[in-house]
Amino acid sequence: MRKKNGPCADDKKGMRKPGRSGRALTAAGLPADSDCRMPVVTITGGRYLKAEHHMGVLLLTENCVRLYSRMGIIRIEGRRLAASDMDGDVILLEGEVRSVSFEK
Amino acid sequence: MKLWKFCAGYVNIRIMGKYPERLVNRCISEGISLTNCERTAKGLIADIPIRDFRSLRRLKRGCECRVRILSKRGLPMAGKAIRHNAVFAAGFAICLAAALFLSTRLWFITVDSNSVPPAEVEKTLADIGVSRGVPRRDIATSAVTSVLNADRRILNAKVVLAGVRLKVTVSDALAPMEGERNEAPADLVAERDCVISYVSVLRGHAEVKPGQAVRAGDILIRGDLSQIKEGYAVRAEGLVYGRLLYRVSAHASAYKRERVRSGRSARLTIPQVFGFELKTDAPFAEYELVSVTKEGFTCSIIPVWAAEYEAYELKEASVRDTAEGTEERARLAAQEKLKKLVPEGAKIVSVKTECITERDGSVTAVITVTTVEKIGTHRGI
Repeated sequence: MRKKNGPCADDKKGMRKPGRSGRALTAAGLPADSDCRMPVVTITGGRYLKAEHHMGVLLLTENCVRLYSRMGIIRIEGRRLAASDMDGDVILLEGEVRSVSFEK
Repeated sequence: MKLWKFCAGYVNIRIMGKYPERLVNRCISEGISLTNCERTAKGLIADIPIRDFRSLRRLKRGCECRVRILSKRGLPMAGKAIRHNAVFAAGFAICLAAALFLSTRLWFITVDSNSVPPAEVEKTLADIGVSRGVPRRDIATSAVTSVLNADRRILNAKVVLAGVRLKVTVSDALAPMEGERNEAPADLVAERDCVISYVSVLRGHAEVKPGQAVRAGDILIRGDLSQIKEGYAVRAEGLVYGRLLYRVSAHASAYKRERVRSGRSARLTIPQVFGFELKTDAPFAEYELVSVTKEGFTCSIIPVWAAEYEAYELKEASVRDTAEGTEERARLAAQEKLKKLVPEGAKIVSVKTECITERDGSVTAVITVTTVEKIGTHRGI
């Protein structure tokens, strides 16, 4: 039986493989961001970071931000990080972004 | 975005507790937009819209969080503050109304005129109802322009209404009339040798074109129009500007006359009362004082001092000047000459200064100036 999506489940499993819809998109030759559930992280000049399609904030400190997403936990590290806007499934971070990684 | 946030009003809150992120996630899932979310040592600080603030009470249940308001900001809050200060609001409203009312009137009239006195122009404007305090909508600049242009002394008037200021520019006004206007047929001829730069004919026939070189006495605008009609002649009128070249030179020797100490000196004691020096006999015709001592009489109530000076005799002597100083003197002398040569109304378009240093150190400064000036003068036919 397949487990429900949740932060704990992702922590154990790490980064997930693309699902059925993802594979279908790849087979159809469409770009990955056509799947509106896939997380999209956009960094502008190392100062602004926009994370779309996240599923919740796990941690919000000035040095680290952890976001839960369909692909696993996105870990954003930096300095003086602050969420300038949080609306729906979009979070806009401001500060010195040093790294973005998926937690395994 | 920030402006919209300010207009809608927002509350700056601090979320304290074990899991503030839980409350943040609940807010997001409820569609509440959080802005400026920042973690501090005391908790998580964020801005929340006023309309969503009340729902926080319900959302925070089970999150083990406490929410504290840090500040309330935005237009609704400012409105509330103004409502509590009725005098300020009334004063603000009165000022705004006064500013709006005053901006509908004319308050400044600026007249830029060379020949016609500005007071006369303002009087003419007042006669047609254009004065300070009149509504701006009642001023028709085209009508004012035509009234001013009707004055025979004015060649072209420009009237611009900019805000509460009316700017009148009377350009190229003709010379004021002296008694009766001389209407005798005449040609407009060149006063000096020059190159024509601008020709504008009011009456007569232009004989020259811009760029053409003319000699003094050459006809610029012909008043004799017999080729159009036999025996028909007018007094030629118009504006003719010419480009003229002035070249002046001045020589400055390497030595300059300067007052120097002759070597003779004398000790001088000058009494001072209340800080004013009393007159004493001059030891030399020309001298320079150098203070030596100053002693006060302590026993006196009146402040009396005795100032001792060394007086050095001065005499005129030739002193060798520096190269820069000599150049400067030569240049100044040439400029003085030029001032006398160039007429007052001439517009200087280019200046070229050249300094030639001779073997003996003397300098010759040559200044070449190009001017544009009116060169027409009447000559009877």
